[in-house]
Amino acid sequence: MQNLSARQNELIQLPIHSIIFLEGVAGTGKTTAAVGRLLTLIQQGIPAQQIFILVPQRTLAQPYREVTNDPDLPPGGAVTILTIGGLARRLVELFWPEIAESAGFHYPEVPPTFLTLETAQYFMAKLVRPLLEKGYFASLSLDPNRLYSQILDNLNKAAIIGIPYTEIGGRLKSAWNGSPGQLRVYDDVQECASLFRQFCFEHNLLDFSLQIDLFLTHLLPNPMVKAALNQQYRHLIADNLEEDIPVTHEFIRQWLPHLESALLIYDLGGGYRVFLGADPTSAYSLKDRCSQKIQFDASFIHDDPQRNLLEMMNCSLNDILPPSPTSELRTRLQTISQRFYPQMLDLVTKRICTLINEEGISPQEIVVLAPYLNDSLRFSLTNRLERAGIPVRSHRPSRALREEAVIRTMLNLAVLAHPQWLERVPLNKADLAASFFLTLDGLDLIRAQLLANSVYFEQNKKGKLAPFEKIAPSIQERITYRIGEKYERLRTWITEYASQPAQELELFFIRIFDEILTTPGFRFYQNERAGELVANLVESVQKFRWSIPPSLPLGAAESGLEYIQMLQEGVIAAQYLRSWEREASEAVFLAPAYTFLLANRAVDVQIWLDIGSSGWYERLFQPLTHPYVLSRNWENGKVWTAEDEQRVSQQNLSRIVLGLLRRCRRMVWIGFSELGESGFEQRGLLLRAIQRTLEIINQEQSNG
Amino acid sequence: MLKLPVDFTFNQSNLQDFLECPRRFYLGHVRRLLWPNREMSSESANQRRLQLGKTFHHLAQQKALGIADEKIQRQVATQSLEIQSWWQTFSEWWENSVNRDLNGDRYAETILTTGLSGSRLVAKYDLLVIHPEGDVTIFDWKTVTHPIPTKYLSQHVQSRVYPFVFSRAYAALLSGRKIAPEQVTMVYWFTADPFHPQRLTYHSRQYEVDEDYLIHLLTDILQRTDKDFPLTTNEKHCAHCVYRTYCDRRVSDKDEENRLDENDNPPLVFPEDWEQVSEINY
Ligand code: SF4
Repeated sequence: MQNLSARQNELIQLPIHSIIFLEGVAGTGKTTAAVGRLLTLIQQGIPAQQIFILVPQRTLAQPYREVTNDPDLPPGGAVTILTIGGLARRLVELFWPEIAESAGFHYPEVPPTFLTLETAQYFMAKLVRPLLEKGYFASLSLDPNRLYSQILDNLNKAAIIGIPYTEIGGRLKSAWNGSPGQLRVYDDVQECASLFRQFCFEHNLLDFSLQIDLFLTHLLPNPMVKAALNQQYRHLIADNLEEDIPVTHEFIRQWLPHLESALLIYDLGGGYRVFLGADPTSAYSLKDRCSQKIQFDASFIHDDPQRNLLEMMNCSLNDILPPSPTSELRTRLQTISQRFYPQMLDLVTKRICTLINEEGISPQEIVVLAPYLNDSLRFSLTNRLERAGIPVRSHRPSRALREEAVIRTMLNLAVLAHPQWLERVPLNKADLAASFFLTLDGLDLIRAQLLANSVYFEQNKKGKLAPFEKIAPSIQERITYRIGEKYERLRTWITEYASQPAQELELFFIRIFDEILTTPGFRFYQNERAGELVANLVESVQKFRWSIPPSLPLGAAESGLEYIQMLQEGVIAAQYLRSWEREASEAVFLAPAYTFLLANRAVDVQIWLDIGSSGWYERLFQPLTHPYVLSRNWENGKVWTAEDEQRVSQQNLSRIVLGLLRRCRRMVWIGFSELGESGFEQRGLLLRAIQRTLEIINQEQSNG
Repeated sequence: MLKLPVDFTFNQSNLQDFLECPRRFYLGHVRRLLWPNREMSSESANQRRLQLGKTFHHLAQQKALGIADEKIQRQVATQSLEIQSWWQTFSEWWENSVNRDLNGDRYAETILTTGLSGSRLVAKYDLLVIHPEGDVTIFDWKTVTHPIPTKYLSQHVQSRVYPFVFSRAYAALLSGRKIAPEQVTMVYWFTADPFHPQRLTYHSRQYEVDEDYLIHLLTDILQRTDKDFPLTTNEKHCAHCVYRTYCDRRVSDKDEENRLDENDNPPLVFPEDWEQVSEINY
């Protein structure tokens, strides 16, 4: 373990049987101390399998996972590391026979089907679509997929604060003070949420909200579940409680009296996941339940100038009289300024090169942050850095499958192999040309288009491929007979497949990949990227099919078509993780600010972009839900006003800016262009606060 | 020196992969390359058995947790005939064994782990029974199509890893109580032959042999470079391998038949891939 401070050692050495609340701002070594405490527990003979580590999201478990994988750790059981969602799911799975009937499921003897966010959205779409046609939500112009996801979000919020889902509409209505038309929208929201929940009970479907509901109302009070938890686990470490949901806090509150030891960790100034239901206030209330209360104050990250910068920014953000800036401060907050956005990005790239090549800062000690990281910013900056020879990785944990050309090709081939689908999934010649280009080795784009134009035709609303020999000899020659032979192999395979009864869509993808596309002469031959993408597609199809409960049977062809339609409409985004992006860790990191904050690590240099954007503090436009009203801290019946909106914006900005500065060791660079990415002049609360801070620094310097 | 993923641990399943084909180990566990293959399809026989195996293990865990038989039985009644028949014989065997092999404190789905050769070796046990006199039985439920004779079972790496890790980690499991390898028995219980479980007794000499063997095996793997993971020379291992099109080891139907007919190295691991799945937390 790294060198520990006296305060950290003190905490680690506390008697085993202690219930501890540890608080402190980011960078004061709380998690390091908790990891030390975990090791001490194990070394003092506590069986590892009795230790439970609870974190709000998987990434925050990394330090604990690393230490439990350490080969030097004595032999023994395994520590359990879970999120509350993971625990709820595990308990529901195991104790389903105990709770299903009393919870009201229509088929308690049949195992439940767990829904992902996407499959939940699919069922929500099925239920809500007919209502949209009847005029529900008529006053809103909102992408239907966002509409479905916000209704689900409401169910989740109700579950995590522990209120009945039937109260969603009423709560939203009572806080509304705008046009009366919106009240009708909230009624529609309630009706859809209730319909969905009813549907879940009828078909044993469990979305996240219902899992959490069952956890709180049926599992926790169940004596068998209680006994199993209490027998297995005697020690709890719960980290980043401020990022967790009220149900977690309630669970801990009930569990504490039965535990031999607990270490509850709270990050002062955190609470970045409020929009996901995190509740720092409810987390902090656990402090009273702990016999030992400890606060860490000394930062392992900041030196005096950096501390000074943090204070200055805090004052600028909150209109407080600032302290005097230290002389070094000028080097700690600097700007990269240009009139136009692309030039600013050029300068940012140059600056990063200087930091790495001349000042010896390692690439992984640099992050580039913006409130959102859209594709164009990611592409522009990644491109520039790669050209300059700088290793770079971007936060893009997931990407929609249908954005990938390989996947679009697989979908086109599926439509060709199921000609009757054409009516509902159109196929055009340009798409087909791209598919030929991507699969037939040696074919260029121009000849691919020629081939598609020559062989594809539609007959009786069915798409067909003509044999190569049927096209004009002059065109055959231009395309070449070598390509013609490959095309024929593909066509024959598809024609044969189409003449048989349809198989499950996943099997179609596997077979065509296996039997044709990965054979020599085709472009997927030993093509790892295509392999990974198709494997993700197969998995996504499977998950979709497995989410269809036995009570709603769908044939192979229907479920395949349903999947493709849902994917194309974006109901199923089929997000996947690209393994070729998972690996490069010694690289400059581009990320949205929130993602970096939740990664729980500090770096030497931060570069902030888009500081004129209101995305730093304003909540997303979500007309069907409200993260602050559907919260335990909102008094039911109170009206949400413009002042409330302003107050939370201000709070969010302070929280995020101070959070970032607490995770920065040496300097912040501000990339600023007078005209933002979309060409408009920049303004906004963050820009104003930074300008104020810079003015004071400059003034002091010129005075001094 | 090999660079393994940060969360990598050795277990019987990835070691078995290495022993059958170093390349498969490298692609699957070092590179973690995803590659579409027929085994992924729920229409494949192996995938079907994997799902049946998962369901069976799940029910067995519920039973060990003390969920009432009639409640489990109601779930079983909605499952396939295979599961129903497995469950019936399992319940009978359980009933007959309560006062014998199953007599004692029971721990279902327990993970134990030990450091070895600068890495971690993990084993997940379907059921551990600590008998009143201090002896221990390790149970492993096997849902493969045919029972496997003891002479083959004892050669499987699982039969080395499980009692070895258990003997090392036992003290930590039960607050410092020590155990001699002689007190450990490993029982493979086959759905295909429920009333004749295969018993492998353990002893100190075997423990030493296994320790030596596993140290050598892990060291051998860890000292390799990315280029030292050749394709297997025994192409029969390719028949059900997920990478067979990637490696261009396409197998004709006839080869597959040969593979099934010969049955000279019965697969023990893949239908129980459950272990791999459930070792992942969250
Ligand atoms: S296909 Fe054969 S050679 Fe390739 S990884 Fe699998 S077992 Fe090894």
